Amino acid sequence: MSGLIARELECRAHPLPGPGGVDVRTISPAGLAEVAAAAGLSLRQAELAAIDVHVLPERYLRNLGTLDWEGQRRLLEACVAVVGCGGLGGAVVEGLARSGVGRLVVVDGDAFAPHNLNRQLLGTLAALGRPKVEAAVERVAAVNPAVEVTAHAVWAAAENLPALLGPAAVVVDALDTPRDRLVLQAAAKQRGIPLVHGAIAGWVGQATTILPGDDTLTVLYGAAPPEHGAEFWAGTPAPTPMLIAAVEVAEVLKLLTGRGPALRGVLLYLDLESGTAERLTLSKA
Amino acid sequence: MIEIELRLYATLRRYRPGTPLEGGEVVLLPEGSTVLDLLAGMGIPAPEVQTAFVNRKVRAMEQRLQPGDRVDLFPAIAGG
Repeated sequence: MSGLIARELECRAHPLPGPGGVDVRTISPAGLAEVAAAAGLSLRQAELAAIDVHVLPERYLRNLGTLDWEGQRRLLEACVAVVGCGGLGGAVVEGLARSGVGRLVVVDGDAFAPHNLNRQLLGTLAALGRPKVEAAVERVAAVNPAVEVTAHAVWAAAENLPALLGPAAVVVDALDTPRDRLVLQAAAKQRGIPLVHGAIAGWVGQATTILPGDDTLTVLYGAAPPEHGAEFWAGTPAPTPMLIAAVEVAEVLKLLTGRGPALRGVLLYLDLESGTAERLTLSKA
Repeated sequence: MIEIELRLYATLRRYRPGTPLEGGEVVLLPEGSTVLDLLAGMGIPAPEVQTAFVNRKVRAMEQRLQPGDRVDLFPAIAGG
């Protein structure tokens, strides 16, 4: 980075209280956009350049304390694929973009229908009939334009998935059938990257994290998976996709920042009807 | 006979109406019973049970149950 860019960043920096009330040098979104435009950098590059000179993009100030500077840098440098942009995927995209995951690959061949509106964050009246991935691109641009999104408006399948995952370091399972989820597990295994799984039905939801070779979803759904799960009867109301998406986002952030997952080989099962949580072991040993 | 603790989740709960949402119920089974025997005895269709956990660890439906075992039964959950 040139000294000129560093000076431009530093002269726009202003102190704000961070964790424990200790001042942190920050730069506003508008200040960053000015520096990026003047230096011919992308917003993401400008954010990385700011972190290099210990000026934190202000939008990440409340990440600090949970994430550190190095963690924030790792997020900005990372690419995560989100497969499925419905109830789970929309909320996952939102969480990852706000956290500052620098590159997202979103995959979904579906378009919004009115029955999506009860729960899908990206679904609006204006989006009805339009591809879900287009709504994802627009939402990320509105929330955090530093995040670079590659959108694939196609149905995930065994043939296309390994290539679609692109440079992703982690992939998020936000699909809606057992069979597709097993296909995604195979693709993630082929690419050698962790898969963060979430699924919902009615008041309940589950999440687990699969490292390459674990094949945890095969344990969960069987080698010959059923056509659908309990959601066929219980539906998919608003609270559970939001809840399970949050668990998936947390697992991704920990994987990317080197903390490691909390749910490898473990099924976290959350029941909002009874207000209970279960941790169950999915490894056969 | 042996005593085990049974917990049903999500849509499987409809096979034991009136069971409290939290906690399980104690079930008496003949010695040597498997998870499948438990399902048959409770009138729960085996195809609806996707995953069985014994003492919180995933186990095959053919797993023999021991006195005091806790059995958690789940349907497939796959919505998004």
